[in-house]
Amino acid sequence: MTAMVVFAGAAVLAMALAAFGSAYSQGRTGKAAMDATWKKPEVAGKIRTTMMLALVFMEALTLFVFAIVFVLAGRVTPEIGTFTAVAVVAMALSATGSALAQARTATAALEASWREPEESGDSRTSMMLGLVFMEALTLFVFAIIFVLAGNMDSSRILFGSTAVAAMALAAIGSATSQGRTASMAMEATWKQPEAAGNARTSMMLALVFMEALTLFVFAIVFVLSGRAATPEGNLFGAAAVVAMALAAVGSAVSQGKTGAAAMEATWRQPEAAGDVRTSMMLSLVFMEALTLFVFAIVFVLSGMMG
Amino acid sequence: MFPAAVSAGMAAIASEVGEEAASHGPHVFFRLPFLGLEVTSIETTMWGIMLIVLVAAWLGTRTLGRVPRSRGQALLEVAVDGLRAFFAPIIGEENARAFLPFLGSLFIFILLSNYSGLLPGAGHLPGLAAPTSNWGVTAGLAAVVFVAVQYVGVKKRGLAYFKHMVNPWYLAPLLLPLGVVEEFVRPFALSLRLVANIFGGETVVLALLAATPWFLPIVPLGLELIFGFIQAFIFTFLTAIYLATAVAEEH
Repeated sequence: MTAMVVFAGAAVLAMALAAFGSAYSQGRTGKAAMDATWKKPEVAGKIRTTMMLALVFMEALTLFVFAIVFVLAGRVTPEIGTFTAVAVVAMALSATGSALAQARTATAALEASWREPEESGDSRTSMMLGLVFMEALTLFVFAIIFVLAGNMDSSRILFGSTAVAAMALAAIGSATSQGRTASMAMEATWKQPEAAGNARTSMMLALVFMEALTLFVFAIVFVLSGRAATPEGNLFGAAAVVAMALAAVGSAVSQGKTGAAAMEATWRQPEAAGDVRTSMMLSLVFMEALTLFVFAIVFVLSGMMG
Repeated sequence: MFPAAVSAGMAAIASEVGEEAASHGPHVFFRLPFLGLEVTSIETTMWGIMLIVLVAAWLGTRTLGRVPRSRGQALLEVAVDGLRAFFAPIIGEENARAFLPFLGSLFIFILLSNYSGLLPGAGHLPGLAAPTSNWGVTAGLAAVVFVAVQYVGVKKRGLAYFKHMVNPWYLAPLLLPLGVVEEFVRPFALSLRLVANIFGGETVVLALLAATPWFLPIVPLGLELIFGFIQAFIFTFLTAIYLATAVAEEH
């Protein structure tokens, strides 16, 4: 029963990691809420609502890890023990990544709610949108583990384990850049309340681009999992998903930088918001295309592997 | 015990998802006589979308008047005017008017295609799958854009259109191959962006529906609503920019 021991060990570590990530993020959010409350006691109610909403998102992340541990526990066999162990750890890592990015966003939203109390509804809406995107990244990892667990056997173990790790890496990359962009959007909300709507629209567009990067890794894992049963497919798939994840992280980092700068430009020069958005989108398109080229070459080569 | 039952059911559904991953392809309905072309669920869904758009356009324009006499006309006018007002600041009023029929058709068709994959049962029922989750379809759309860009460029500016590939002239040997490659990379990336997004979104929803049919799929479904719109928007936005660059005079 060594496989079960390995899985159980990995599972408790994963749960601890996820709980730690959620707790740390909730701590930062709670602190930001307390700060906001003493700085602007008049809007304590609104601050509390914003805080509660953010905490729920972070709590759910650890619950997702719990769910995947629960689901995989019934499937552990000596054959796929490695996969299940890697999967729960990958899930915990992506949950931690999402939680930290959410904390960054929520902290900025809470700061906005005391600095510009009239606009706290605006910043809350923007925050919720951002948090949903970051939450979904962990759900993507959840989904891919579920898909891979369905047809996992010893012939695909290398591909499966690498794929979940690659998904987690991509999700962390996307989450980090989303957190960076979203927190700058919150800052824009209080620094230039007139630009709040424009900042939110630009933020959403940028977040969709960053979300898409993890989605591309998801799609390629999905496609390759059908072809990973042969030794060649197994090995090629493992290399391909790592390549995709690396490309996605690179694109995500640069998109995060661009997105954050676009938010700053929006509040510094609200009249130029439309121009800023157009330029931002054009540059994000280029960065995304880089990952798409890797996607295309993996797709084509995997067809040629036979 | 409960976990055992859950995991047994999960294994059954998930292996189904895995098999769909292995053989993800459109469902062939019948072959056209003489030509032997296959008619798949992709085509039937596109026909359905075209039919919806045609009927809506016909209903809306049946009783045309200077002042809208029907709700349909009012609705269509809002849509057309909204699209024009959106493109005007990006590519200029004149271009926006000239290219609106093309851009609007692209946008509406891609939007409805993306959303057709969100209908309950899409992807499971034969005959209903988002056409834009197939690379062939998006490549076709991108090819149309490619041809349109070259066409309007040459039509407006004649051979001067190709000058942007050899400007400045002393770098022409270096720039010409790059320029040609870039012209072909554009539709390639355009089609890939759309298909990878829609296909990825569809599979995430499928996998989460298999994992837990309750609550959890709401998140990706809601995101797909945003994604479907924004991807249709980005495709049209980039097309508009390519068209506007093609007709712009050098300065």
